[in-house]
Formats: sequence, C-alpha cells, structure tokens
Amino acid sequence: MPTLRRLIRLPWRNAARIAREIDDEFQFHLDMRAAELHARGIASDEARHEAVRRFGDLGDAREYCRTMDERFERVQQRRSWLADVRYDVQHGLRHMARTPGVTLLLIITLGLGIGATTAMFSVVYRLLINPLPIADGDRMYNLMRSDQRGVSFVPPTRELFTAWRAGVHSLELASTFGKKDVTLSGTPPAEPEGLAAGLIADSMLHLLGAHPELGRSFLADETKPGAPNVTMLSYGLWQRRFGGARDAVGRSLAIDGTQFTIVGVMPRDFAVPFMQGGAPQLWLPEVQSADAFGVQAVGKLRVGYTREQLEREMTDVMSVLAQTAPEYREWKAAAMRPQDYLGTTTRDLLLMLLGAVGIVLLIACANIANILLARATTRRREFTVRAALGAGRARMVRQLLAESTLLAIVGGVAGLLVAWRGLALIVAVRPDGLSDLDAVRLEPSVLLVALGISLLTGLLFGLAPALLAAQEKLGEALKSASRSSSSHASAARFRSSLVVAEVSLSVVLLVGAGLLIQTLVQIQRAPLGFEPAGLSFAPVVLPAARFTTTAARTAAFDQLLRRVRVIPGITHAAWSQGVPPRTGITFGELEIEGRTMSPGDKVSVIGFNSVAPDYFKVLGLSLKAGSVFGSDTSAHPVMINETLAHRYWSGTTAIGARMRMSRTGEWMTIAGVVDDVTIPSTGETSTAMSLQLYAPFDGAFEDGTLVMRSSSNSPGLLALLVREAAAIDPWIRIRSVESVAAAMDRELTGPRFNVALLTAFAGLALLLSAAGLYGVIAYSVSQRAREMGIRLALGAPPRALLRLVVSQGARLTIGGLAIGLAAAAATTRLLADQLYGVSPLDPTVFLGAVVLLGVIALTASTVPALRATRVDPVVTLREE
Amino acid sequence: MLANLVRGSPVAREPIDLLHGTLDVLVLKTLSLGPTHGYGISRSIESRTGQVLEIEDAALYKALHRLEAGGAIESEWGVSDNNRRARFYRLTARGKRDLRAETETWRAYAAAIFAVLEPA
Repeated sequence: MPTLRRLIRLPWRNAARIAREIDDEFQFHLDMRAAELHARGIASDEARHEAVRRFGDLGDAREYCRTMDERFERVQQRRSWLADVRYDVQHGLRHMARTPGVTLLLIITLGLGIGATTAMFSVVYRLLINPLPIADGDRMYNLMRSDQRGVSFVPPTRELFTAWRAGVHSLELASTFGKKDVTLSGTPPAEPEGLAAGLIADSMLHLLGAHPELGRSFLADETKPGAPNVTMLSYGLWQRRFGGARDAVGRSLAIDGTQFTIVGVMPRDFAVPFMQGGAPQLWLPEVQSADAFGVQAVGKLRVGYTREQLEREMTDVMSVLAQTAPEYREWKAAAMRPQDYLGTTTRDLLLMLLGAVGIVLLIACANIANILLARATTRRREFTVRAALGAGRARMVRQLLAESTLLAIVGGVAGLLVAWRGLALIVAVRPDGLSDLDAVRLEPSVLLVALGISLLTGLLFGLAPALLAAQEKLGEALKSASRSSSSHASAARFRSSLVVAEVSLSVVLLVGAGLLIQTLVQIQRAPLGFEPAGLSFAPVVLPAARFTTTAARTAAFDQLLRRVRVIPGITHAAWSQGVPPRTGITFGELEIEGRTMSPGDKVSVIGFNSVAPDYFKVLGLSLKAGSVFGSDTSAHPVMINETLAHRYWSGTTAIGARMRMSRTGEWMTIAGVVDDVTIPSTGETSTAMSLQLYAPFDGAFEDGTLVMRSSSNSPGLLALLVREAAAIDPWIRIRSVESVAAAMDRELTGPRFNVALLTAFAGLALLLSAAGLYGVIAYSVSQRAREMGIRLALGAPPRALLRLVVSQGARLTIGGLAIGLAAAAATTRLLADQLYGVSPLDPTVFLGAVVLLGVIALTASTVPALRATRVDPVVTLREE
Repeated sequence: MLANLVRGSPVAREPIDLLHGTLDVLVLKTLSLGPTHGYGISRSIESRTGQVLEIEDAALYKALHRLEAGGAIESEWGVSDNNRRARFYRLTARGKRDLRAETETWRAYAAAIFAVLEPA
C-alpha cells in the first residue's frame, strides 16, 4: 500500500488539472470494470460498452465532481493562506519578543512621531480647516462690512442686514445675534449670579438647523419692542438650576430685576457661530431697538454659490442703499469665516508648528528606517538560508510585510495614546485667542495618514533583507567575510547620512524654540512706561434701564468714585474705558488740520482710550506738555502720547493742533502730551499700539473701568466695591477686580503657548536624534567588535578606542550642526512675526542650540564607546 | 451539496438526503477497512452485500468527491495492485467520527422499522 501521508505540500491544482484527474479516475474505473467483465467471458468491445453503460451518466458525474473538487480546492487554498498569515504573525511576534529593547524603541519612536503629528494636525484642522463642526458649518459666514481697504471690519446696521436678507440671492438664510451681561437673581437656595446671555433673532435656530431640547424657540413677535419677557435656558443652566426638570417650561426667572417666562431649553452644546467669548448660559430674544449700533449677522451660503458671489451681491445691495444714504459708499461687504479672524500671525504660527511636528515625524521615520536597515543586515543570513531551503521570495516578502504591519499597528496604538494625551496637554496651555480649541477632537483621517507614512517607511526598509537575500549566493552569506561586502558599506553610509539629516533638523527646531523663549523673556522684561505694582481695575456696568441719560450715568460714576476713594488702602482712583493691557483701538484715517498727509504719514489704526483726567496720575504717566484735557470742553480736547507727538510734530509743539480720525468726524484739539505706554506684543498689533490717543471719559455708555492704585494688597476689595456700588443702586454690576500685573501676565498666554509647543517638538526631535545617533554608533561598534577585540589584545590603550568611536560620533554631529545652522539661519526669518526684542539671527540662541546639541550628541556617542572599551578581546575573538 | 452527515442523535431526512446518507455510510464503512480506490469500493460493497446492492458508479463517484469536499475522506494518487495509476481514498479522523454517528443512526432507524414490521 502506498503511504498516503502528505509530507510535502503539492502546488495548487487549476481547473484543467482537476478535470484531467477526474477523467483519469473514471478511466481507471472503466478499464477495471471492462477487465472484470472480460474475465467473465464477455468480448472486449462488449465489455467496454457494458462498463460505460453500467457507469451511469458519465457527463453528469464528471460535471458534479469537477465542481465539487474546484470548490474544495478553493477552500483549501484559503485555509492554507490563513494558516500562513497566522504563522507569519506568530513568527513576527516572536521575533519582536526576542529583541525587546529594539522593539520597544521602535514602538516608542513610532508612537511619538505619529502621536505628536496627529495631535498638532487635529489642532490645525479644528482652527483652520473645519472650524464649525455643525450642520452646514462650511457654509456659514459672518456678514460684515469693511472699509475700502479691508483693514477694519464692523457689523452691518440693521437696515443693511434687512436689505441683504431680502436682496442677496446667494444667501439662503440669515439671522442676527448679540450678547450682553445680565444678573440672574436667585430663588433660594440659589444665589444671584452674573452671567452672559446670548441674544438671538427668531430665525437663528432654523438657520443652524437646531431644535430645542424642550419647549420652543422665540417667535417673531417676541423680538419686537414691548413684547412679553421670554427666555430660553441653555442646557447647562437647565441642569444646574432646574435639575433638568421636564416642567421647566412655563416657570419664570428673574433677570435684572424683571420676571421672564421660560419658553424653552436649548440643546446640549448649543452655540452660535462667530459669537465671542464663552457659551452663554441664557438666551433672550434680540429686541430690534431703534438706536442699535449694528447687529452681528450670520448667514448661510446657498448651495452652489461661492463666497465671491456672496460678497459681490452684498456689495451691490450696499451701492443701491448708498443712493439714499451716501455713508454706505465708504464701506464694502465682507463675508468672513472663523479662520479669517485668527489673523495671519496666528495662522502662520499654526502652520509653522505643523511644519515643526512634521519634522519630528520625519526624524522618527528616519530612526525606524535606520533600525530596520541595521536589522536587515543581521537577518540577511537568516533569509538567505531560508531561500536556499526553498522558501519562495514571495513567501519571505509576505512575512516581512506581516512583521511591518504588526509593528505599524502596535505603533499606531501607541501613537493614538500619545495623540490623546498630547491633545489634552495642548488644550491645557492654549492661549485665550484660541478658545475654540476647547472643543477639539482627534481626527481619525489624520491618524490614518500618519500611520500610513510610518507603515510605508517600515515596509520600505523592512523589505530590504528579502531583496538583498534574493541576490546573495548562499555560500557568500554564510561566510563571515561577507561582513565587509560593498553593499554593507553603502548601507552604513546611508544610515550615517540619515543621522546627519536628523541632527540638522533638530538644530533648526532648537533654534526656533530658543528664539521664542527669548521673546517670552524679552516681553516680560520690557519696560511698560507705567508702574503696574499696586494697580488694579474693576469693570463696572450700570443697569441701562435705570440710568438712561448721560447726566444720570455721569452722576452715578462720580458718586461711586467718591465712595471708592475713601476705601482704606486706595490711594488713587479714576474712571476710564479700559486699562493696559485691555485698552482699545480706534480706526479711520488720521487727518491733521492744515496739513496734507503724505502716504508715509497715513495711519488707520491707533491705540485709543477714554479716560478721566486723574487717570494719568493713577497710572503714573507724567505730563510732557500742555495740560490734562485743558478747560475748554467744546473744543473736543484729547491727549496724545509722546510717540504720536514726535511722529507728526517733532520740532514743534503739538499743543493746540487739531486732528481727527475720519473725514466726517469732529476736529479734536490736542490739549496735552503724556508718557508712552508700551505693551509688548508681536506681529500685526505692535505698531498700532505705539500711537496712543486719549479722549475724556464721559457717561456716554453704561460701562466703565474703575482703575485704582492701592498701597497694600487689599483682599476683599471686590466685596467692598460691590457694597459701595449697591449703596448707589443694587443693580450696578461689578463682577471682578483684577490686578493689572495679573492681566498683563495673562496676555502672555499666546507667547507661552508658542514656547510650550515648539520647545516640546524641539525636545522630541533632540531626543529622537540622540537615539538615532546612539543607534548608529552602537551598531557600528558591534560590527567592529572583532576589530576592537584584536586591537585591545594587541595592547592598544582603551582610550584610543574611545577616541576612535567618539570621533566617529563627532564627525556626524559636526556635519549635522553645520547643515542645521545654515538651514536655521535661512528659515528663522519665517518666525519674525512671532518675535519680540530678539532678531531671527540672534547669536546667543544659535550658540545655545549648538552647545545643547553638542553635549547631548557627545553623550550619545560616548556610551557605546565606553562599552567598546570594556569588550573582552577573548570573548569577541572566540565568537568568530 | 455536501453529504448531509449528522453526528449524534438520529434525525428525520428528506428522500434525497436519505439516499446520499445511505451511500455515504456504506462508502465510509468500506474505507474503514482500509484505503482503496473507487472501483475497489464498488466491488467491496457488491461482495459484502452478496450482490444485493449494486451501487451506480456515477453516484458512487459523486459521493466520493462530495465526501472529500466535506472533509470526511481524503484522496491521493497511488499505484494499484496491477501497477496502474489510481486515486486512493481513506478515512480522516473526522470521517471516523461521522461513520460512528451514522452507524448509530442507521441502527436506530432499522430497529424502528423492524419494530413496526415484526409481528407484535
């Protein structure tokens, strides 16, 4: 009996082969049957016919068996393939476990590279690419008007908005919103609290495609003056104050002393696009009052139309209006997206940070390539032997593919972890200007792209051994002399150049981080022009309903000031619109009476503040010329700072000269010149704020800022202020007292954010480069272990070996440094907008980067060098 | 259509399944005596049933290929007693299990029929 054990797997059968075998099988049967019949005495021909007849339906049987066999063959193939894959995976896992150090290094490297890139890109995605993750968010625009040059933007008047809504075809829907501070009075046990309320038109929810969680949204009638007082709660407020009670609709709430009926609750996480500041807790109908300044408008672009078409149609509507109201001719229309409000400085910064993290990813990939290449040369022997034993090249390639995929998957999981925590960290240090980041999420598409890059790198350099092995002759690979083959040397050169590239990229990032750190230091050290110590400020808001005239407001402000001045500890106090760093700007076209403005003189934005006369004393700004606002109020007196005076009136006096900021405005008389206030800032705003204009503070608006200087730290100052204000009117709102020093510190959140991120990326790059350098040196040492053993045995001092190895590392480092410094010098120019008080080519920073990298690189080369000297020559030589 | 061999307790069957099942169990039993080729199985069944049962060859080969696709038997090309190339079949471990189960089913089935046919 033939043995029927399958020892060697046979190649797969195709359809032709299957058919052939079945035919052979049937033929055998027919021959045997014919022979049997013939043995019983039937003639040969008869016997054949009889055999065929007795068989039955040959054709049918053949078909059936063929189908059966083909199906079976397919199943076998699939099972075998799966078994192969499982074997590959197991083998790969075992291989990874055998070299735990290297495997861990690979996973960490992958994780850091993928994770950091994903986190940063998620930030960029949220801020620049998809800032409005709501239904039709990519079609929402903030409808604004801008001056003809497109420098300043203001909201449209209600008249203009109504005209737009009616006459602009590319606008599918539009609605308006606003915001105001209100005080919610408490029904016990709840305390009264001040919070922000959002004002929306009745069409807003429809525009956003949102539906109330409970109840209904506002009706059109409720937005008219004199309508019943209704309100909608935010989801959070509903939970907090009403415990999520389903019967909250119909209950009433006291807002600013008046009863409001709750008609609905907003859905969770409801927000209006383009609304500044945090999400409002309360929503009120936007009452269309006659003297409204302007309305914040958001519109949805109709499908199939472009932003340019929208702006064109909006501008056309404005020119129609201009026929009866000529002031519209000074403006043109602008449809803004959230990214436009970030400012080019921030945009550039984000893109640069993205570039920086991309560099980190590149370095990580280079390290992975290096490790895999090094492993490839050691595994060459393994693969050549396997090839000799009959493993097909496809089989080995498949196995390497499985290993690379395994690595990529594990690295991807590690990357996901790093990205998740990294994103949380980024959001934790985010500056105030990027508050939208609070809602950022990890983008899966980005993770896939980063993973893909790493997978590609792994594949490319992991497949090297299989390809190398295919070209080697078996004998060559097994001979130890193959160590010095030429392909070996070229591989080593490639690895070295990768490390040099890594080092140079790290230098660029280090220099960048250093420049930003210097910027932060310089900002904090910059002289301000005034003394912030002991200076604090409190924004105050008078209830509009109870102080309706300028006279009433001025009286209230004066009263409060008198009361505040007698609070123990307060040495000076004054009213103003704002205080550094929260002072405002005014824009228009600067004009000086009696002078034609040359193009170089033109300025459209200057720093502005309206202040009481004592303000300068409170801040400690000395009077340089003239008097404080003088005595003639009819001449619209203003104060200017020294820089402004010097710019236009150097050599002469500015006192008595007249200027204005728009062709239609009143002339303002310069009454005096004061010290400069310098608020260090970067980018676009820095030049504007150096020119400062002060107008007298009057009670024109309900809000003002109380600026106070106190001799000591007064805890409980807020309570005292609130008490004094309450004595005048209980609805006067003072929500906070803050020291100017603390406010100035908060201005640094922007530069601190820059520093934090770029330093983190530079640190990562440095770490990875050092690891890469270490890897290359250590590997080269292990390859030359035999040579070193011989040298030691022949009596070479260990120091000489040390020098040999370290010099190799030094050569790579110096090469990297040279290229890196050149690259940094060429590219730091891009950072110029982010810098303050430091030039892009600051030598201290460059030197610092060189020293830091040099020290770390030296350490990275010394450790394997030390190992080299401890090599026992006997052991090494015996190993061969 | 793979052989509908059910392990375990006896179950009611469709006529065509009954036919397949009967043939299958005969083939399995034959192979349990030793590996052989299709012709050999045919002769073996004929002689063991004393020429009472004559299996149609086409049906037999269909059954063989069906059983192989189902994993109860496996085949290999070898050399027959008279030095000819033939396809030999043998039972797999699974086939042995199936055979035991089918035998039980048949025993129970036959006993049930006899219980009806035999005089009380």
